[in-house]
Amino acid sequence: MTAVPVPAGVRLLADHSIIDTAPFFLPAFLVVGVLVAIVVRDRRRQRREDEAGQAGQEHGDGEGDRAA
Amino acid sequence: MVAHSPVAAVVQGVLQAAAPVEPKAAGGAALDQIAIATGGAAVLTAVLLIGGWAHRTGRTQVLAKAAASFERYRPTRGLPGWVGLPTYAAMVSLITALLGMYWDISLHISQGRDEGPLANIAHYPILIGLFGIFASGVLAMVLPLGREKPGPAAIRITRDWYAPVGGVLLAGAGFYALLGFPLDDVWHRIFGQDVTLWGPTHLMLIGGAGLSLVALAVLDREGRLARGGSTGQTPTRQYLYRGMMMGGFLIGLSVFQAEWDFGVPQFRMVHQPYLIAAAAACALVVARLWVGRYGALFAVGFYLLVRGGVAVVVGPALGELFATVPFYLGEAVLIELLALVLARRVLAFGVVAGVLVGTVGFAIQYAWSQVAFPLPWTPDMLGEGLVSALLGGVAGGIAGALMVLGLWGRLPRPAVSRSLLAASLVLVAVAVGNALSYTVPQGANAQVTLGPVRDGTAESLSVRMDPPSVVDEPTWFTVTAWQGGDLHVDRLVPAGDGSWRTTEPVPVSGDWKTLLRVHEGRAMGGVEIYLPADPALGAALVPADPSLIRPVIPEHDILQRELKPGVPVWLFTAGSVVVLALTLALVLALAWGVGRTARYGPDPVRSVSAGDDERTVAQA
Repeated sequence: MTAVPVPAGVRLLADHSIIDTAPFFLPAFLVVGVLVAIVVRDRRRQRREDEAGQAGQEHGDGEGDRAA
Repeated sequence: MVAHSPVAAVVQGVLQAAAPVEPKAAGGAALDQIAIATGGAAVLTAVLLIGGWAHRTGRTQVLAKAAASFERYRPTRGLPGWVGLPTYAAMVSLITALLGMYWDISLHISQGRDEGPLANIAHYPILIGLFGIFASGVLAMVLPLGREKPGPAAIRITRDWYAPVGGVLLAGAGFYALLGFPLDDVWHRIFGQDVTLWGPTHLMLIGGAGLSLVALAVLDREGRLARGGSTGQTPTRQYLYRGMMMGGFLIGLSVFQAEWDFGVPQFRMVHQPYLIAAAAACALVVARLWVGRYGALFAVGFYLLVRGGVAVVVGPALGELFATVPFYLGEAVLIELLALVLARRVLAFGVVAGVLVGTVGFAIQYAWSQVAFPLPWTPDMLGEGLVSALLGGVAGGIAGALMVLGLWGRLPRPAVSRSLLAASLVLVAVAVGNALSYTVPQGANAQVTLGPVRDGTAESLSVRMDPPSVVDEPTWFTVTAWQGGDLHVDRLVPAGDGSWRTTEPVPVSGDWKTLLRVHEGRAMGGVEIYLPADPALGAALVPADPSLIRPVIPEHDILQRELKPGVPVWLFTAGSVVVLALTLALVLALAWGVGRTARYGPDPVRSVSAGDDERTVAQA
């Protein structure tokens, strides 16, 4: 918004925790987020199918066990 | 407080620039670095997400082909591609991170803090390495397609997607490490830019990487289970592969010692024997039993090659500081010999190995420290150091034995396993807690007389302590100078008249931070000799007067001048508890993973475990 003139030879330093470190952890956060979304969506879909009376009971192993 | 908007950041940038001499910024990053890093991050995210999606929907065969090539070649031959490819990627990432870490520590010791996360070139390998560990885990999760369930222990992601436990744990360890970055930033904002390896969030960065080796071992186990007895991995390949992994594990557990490797520990000396014994007992017990005969020696060989290589690259090659290594060969020989008599009783083996490492191993390290370490062990810390080493050795030995039994699918019943793991963690807590507690000599002063000063360097220093009993039999009594472009650790010698003197010239000008360090028993303290002015922190110059009398004060006040004053203690405690909880979560997740894969019993192609007979029963 406000353009502050920058004198020659001056290095601007960003000073905001998100800007500072986002590049380090954001990709990992995004990937984990997508994985969690996939898991949740699948579980929800299965529940819906189960409720619809279809026996969607193939694998029942390790539900939602996630270490990340 | 700190400015928290882009506009404020720009304004602050201008304000900072208004200072006549550009100070080393204490927090913040140059904008061009942010741009580079953001671009890189976007590319990495896209590669992982799109690559994984394309692989799982059959749109690309690239990943499948790459994985298949690892199934056919290299030491991982015969193991599923979702084991081989991620394991290789993780190993390369780990070595990259290790190089970055030692380089980075070396730079911090000799130069002081950075101007932002990317201002220091050594941060790149750390970033790439830690992200690589995370990405390797995701790769292991994504690779196995529907028709190939990655072993019986696999975790369900969706109804037609199962991920190996080891992959999830590897991603988790990488994630934990990466989480260290934002938390580190928060930490520094609250507490200031303290330069210490043993900052809690720094421990996350290195601990996540170090512990990821457990995840790799679990992944290996799952690959074997999935192949149900028909892996084509020859005994030699298996030996090499596991030996390298355990060498990596030893490196991973040893990174916590880095401050001692350089000679600038900020904690009591008794912590070092504990750290060495815990790492040696844990990694070498696993190495000997899981890799096979001479496995402990092999792991130490790999350790020396990689960790020594890193020391040589960072030291002589890059012109930074050299980091010494402990003498793990002694512990390896002890464990190899012990295996000749006790390898069949794994838990007893772990405990006895721990005791041996904590006693005989301690004695060997004691001797080694006299020749190899900048700060040798002393009679002053002998007794407590021995107890420390014993605690570490037994804790590590128990953990290692449990890990081996888990990897073999032969864990004792859950109540026993859990109690043993808890016992091991309690020993760790006791040893670390004891090592972290210290006192500061009250009312003590140092009278320092400088010899002739030429080009900002004093030819010698003469020091007299008041009361003299502060240095009766010190563990260390040094003049330490750092952050002036190099590191300088000079142990003082008695001059005969009750005073002590330096053995080398001492820098007392420019950017150097020069102090007297004293540590005896539980007492630790420092005396300021010369500290530069630091406008970014509002710290004034502490001049090196020709003759000065200054009090012994807590070292934190000198070593970490960047620490913000006036932060309440409870905040520090709360911050530490958060980090501790996350760490415990990672350790327990790894233990859970080992336990989960252990449920499926002995895998059909493991090495015969007994010490006397290591023939592998792999069928080609």
